[in-house]
Parts: sequence; C-alpha cells; structure tokens
Amino acid sequence: MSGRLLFVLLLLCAAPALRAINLIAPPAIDATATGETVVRWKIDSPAGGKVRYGLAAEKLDQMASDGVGTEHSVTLRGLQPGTRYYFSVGTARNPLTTGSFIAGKSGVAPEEKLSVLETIRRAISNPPAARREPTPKPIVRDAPATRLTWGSMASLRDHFDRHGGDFGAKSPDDYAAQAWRFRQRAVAEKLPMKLDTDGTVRVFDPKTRAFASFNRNGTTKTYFRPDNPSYWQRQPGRPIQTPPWVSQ
Amino acid sequence: MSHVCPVCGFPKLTEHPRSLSGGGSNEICPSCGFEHGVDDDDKGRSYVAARDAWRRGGMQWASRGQPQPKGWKPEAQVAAVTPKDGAKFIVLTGCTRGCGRALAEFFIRQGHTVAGCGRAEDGVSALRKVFGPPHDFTALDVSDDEAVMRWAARLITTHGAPDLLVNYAAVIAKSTPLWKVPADEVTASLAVNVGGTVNTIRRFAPAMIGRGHGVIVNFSSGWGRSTSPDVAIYCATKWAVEGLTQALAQELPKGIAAVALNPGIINTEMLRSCFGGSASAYPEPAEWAKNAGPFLLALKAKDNGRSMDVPGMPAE
Repeated sequence: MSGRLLFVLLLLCAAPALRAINLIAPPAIDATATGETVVRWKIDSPAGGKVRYGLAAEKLDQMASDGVGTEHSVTLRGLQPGTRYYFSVGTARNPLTTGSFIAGKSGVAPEEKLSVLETIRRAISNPPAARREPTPKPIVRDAPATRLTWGSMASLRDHFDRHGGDFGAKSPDDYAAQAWRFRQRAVAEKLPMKLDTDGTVRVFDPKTRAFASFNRNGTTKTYFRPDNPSYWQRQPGRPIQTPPWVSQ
Repeated sequence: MSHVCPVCGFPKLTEHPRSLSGGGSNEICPSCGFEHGVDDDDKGRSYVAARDAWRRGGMQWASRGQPQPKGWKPEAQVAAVTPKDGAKFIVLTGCTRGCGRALAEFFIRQGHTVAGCGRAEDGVSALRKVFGPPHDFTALDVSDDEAVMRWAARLITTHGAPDLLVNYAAVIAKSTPLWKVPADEVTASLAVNVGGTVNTIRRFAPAMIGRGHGVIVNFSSGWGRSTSPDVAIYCATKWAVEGLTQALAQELPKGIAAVALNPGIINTEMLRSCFGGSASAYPEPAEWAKNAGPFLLALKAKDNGRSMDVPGMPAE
C-alpha cells in the first residue's frame, strides 16, 4: 500500500471522530429501589457514554460508562444515600454537560443552600466544595472543521465576502464557525425555525437579527443579517422546534 | 441536476433558485453574483435591474471562490433568460393540470413569461423541468392568504407587476344535492374558488394599479350565470366570482380591467366528475387554449366589467 493511499485511508477513518457530538436530551437521574443511581441522556450521533462523578465538582474522580450509541444509561453503584454527588456526562473522550444529584433521590439536585459557616468552611477547605451551577449547562466547545459544517465548500468564499462583515468574521473558516455556533445556539435557545419542503431549515434570532439557513443534514447554506424588517415573516416553511439533524 | 440563474442565465446552479414553496436557495450565482433569496427577498432587486447592472459592468465572472469555466459565453447564456420585446408577464393560478396547464404552455410558446402556481408539488416539479427561467412555478394553495402574500411579494419584486393576472384555480364538490355535500367540500370550494380569487387580487392588484395598467381575469363558468341540480356549491362560488368581478370593476382606476370569463365546456378532469363519459365529446384543454390564449392576451382596459365567453367554444 502506498504512503499516499494509507494517508487517505487514515483521513477517512478519522473523519467520523471529527464530527461534533451534541447533547439532545439532558441527563435524567433515577434512584432505584436497590440504592443504585441511573443516569440517562441522549446525543445526536453514536458515541460511547461516560459518567464522571465525585463529591466535589472539581474532583470527579470516579467513572462509569456504557457502550456506543445515541441513548445512554449508566448505573452508579456504592453511593452514600443522601449525599450530594457532582457529575459530568459525555462521550468517552469529552464531557458534554455537568450537574449534581442527591444519592437515593431521583432528579437533578436543586441548588445547595449553605449556611454562612458552611460557606466559609468550604471556602477555606482543600479541595474547595462545590460552587457549580446546579442546572446542567452545555459545555461550549470549538466548532468542528469547516468542511464538516459548511454545505458547499465552493460557495464559502463568496458567502464570506458578502456576509462575513455582518459578524466581524476574520476569515472564511471563522465565518463558518460562527454560523455553526449560531446553529448550536438556535437549538439550545429554541430560536424561531422554519422547515421548508426541501428540508432547508431557516433560523432567525429576533434580538440580534441574525439569519441562517441550513441543509437537512445541518450544514450551513448561508449566514447573514437581513436588512428588511419583514424578511423573516416572508420566509416559507412550517415552524419547528427540533431541526431534522437533531431528530434524525 | 443543474439549474438556470434567472438573472444571467448561468446554467449550472447547483440548486433551483427557489424551493417548490418559493424559498430562496441562498445560492450565490458564480456568474453574476446574485444571491437567490437575499438580493431579491431582502434587498428588493428585480431580475431585470440585476441583469442590466451586470451587463453594464461588462458581464464579469463574479465568484472569487469558483473559477470561470473555460469557453464561458455570458452573451449566449443571458439571452436565454431575457424576455423578448413586447412579452407580457402573466400570473396564472391553477396551472398544474387541465386548462391552466394548457394556458401556461400556450403563453410560454408565444414568448411570454409565466409565473404559475398549483397545489400539486409533482405538477409544479414537472412544469419546472420543462420550462425554466424566466418562467417561475411555485407550489401553493391560493386559499392560504399568507402563502399568496409571500408569493405575490416575491414575484412583484423579481418580475414586477403582472400585465395579466389569471385566476383559474378552482375545485368542485361532489355532484350531489346540496344537503348531501360534505362540509369539508363546501369549505374547500368557497375557500379556493372565492377566497383564492380574492387573495390573489388583494396581493397583486395594488402593484398593478401602481404601475397603471393590467388586466385581471377571473374564471367563471356557465354555472356562474345559470344553475343546475347537484352543483349548487359550484354555482354559488361562480356566481360569487361574477359578482365580485363586477364590483371590483367599479372600484378599479382607469387603465386596469377586471373581467369574468366563462371558458365554455372543456374535457377536463373537473368536467368528467360531472358529465362522466359524455365529457369526451368536448374539446381538449390544449385545443381550447388555442382559442382562449389569444383572447386573453387581447383583453384591454376598455373591457373592464364585462362578463365574457371564450369564443368558439361550446356553451352547452
């Protein structure tokens, strides 16, 4: 096998790993009758599932995992009932979100209410106790490679030339990355979306007046700020909350 | 499959400039630089204005990201989408089958530009395959006022106000006594035959009035001036079309005409639903269009308010 062929094969093998994995259902915590805790979550592409957990948000020193898939369920055993545990869920390689729960109780734990003394004690203890937000929040990660997020690479230069200035983009890659982040934010913040008959999804943020259209598979067609105030209203398609690339 | 840019005629766009529902492709034509769905829908540029500007600029290859094809001939491609002198811009509803489709084909073969709509997506797709830009076909239901609003706004931006607006779209309820007609068929008949006609007039007439000329043709029927048993709902809608056309004619300013037109009896799917096998004794839509097409093109402002019949067609 020639070196060039081997390089191409390696690239092809590496391509799926470069695809961004997104959380589409936040972790649910269930306490079983036998004292175990089950963590369940969903992601948008098949990957291994891993829960890292511990008694402090900064010290997730235990791990449990399951197999490759989009729907994950990991059972944590040997927990102290009534004790708050901190956790992250994600793929085998990257955490996707964090939170905490009380062992023996179902559901993500509410925010801790600490006395003044306990607050001071935790502040001077080593390691410091939890100060994390109790509600799971997606961890912001950088955009995948442009060739994975932009629909027609031949068109990117022209779209950047024309619309990059709307967002202060410094390069075509920066422009494509901003469009990808807008796509992630559209799902997380439930921005207005319309699905056209050809599978095109159009998204608009009324606050920033940013508009983007995406192919059915989630790759970007364009990203810009329209001038016309009725532009969004005149876009066809039926309103949706979940785009095809998340629900598929 | 490649698609044609309606501005410059570049024949290798990767997407149709418009989805079947009329959404812009957001493809930037590498030849002329027109972004479909942005230059028109957001910036309000017409195809004619964009084409003229591109011509004045020397028809330069616009893309920095895509190389100019070898042997590229902009003069030849732009000629294919440039309407000939004297060509009319005709908006036609219900164009995917029957007489509507026959009219669309007649007008196009006579050198006019047709923007048509119909509910059947496969019918619209079929028309798009045969007739590319400057013609424009969209899938929509004329009873959906919001869809008609979007469609009209886009066409008026890209093509200008129509010279001829033909309201052909219609449905007919099951042939049966009035008290047996299913409620949904009553609703659909009123919504399409009357509501659809009103919707298109509301959305296109202001631009026609603003431009100062144009003709609106509302398709009526023999049953818009007479009655028969088992078609009461259809009669009701077509009498309504006659009535609203007369009133509209009194409202329109000088230069604009509204006409109610009885097409005569044609062997269409609709007629077969009423007449059964005897429908085959009547002319086919293509034959009918040879009479109806020139008649429609000859209508003038002086015809405002008339209830007319397509000449040379059997009325009974």
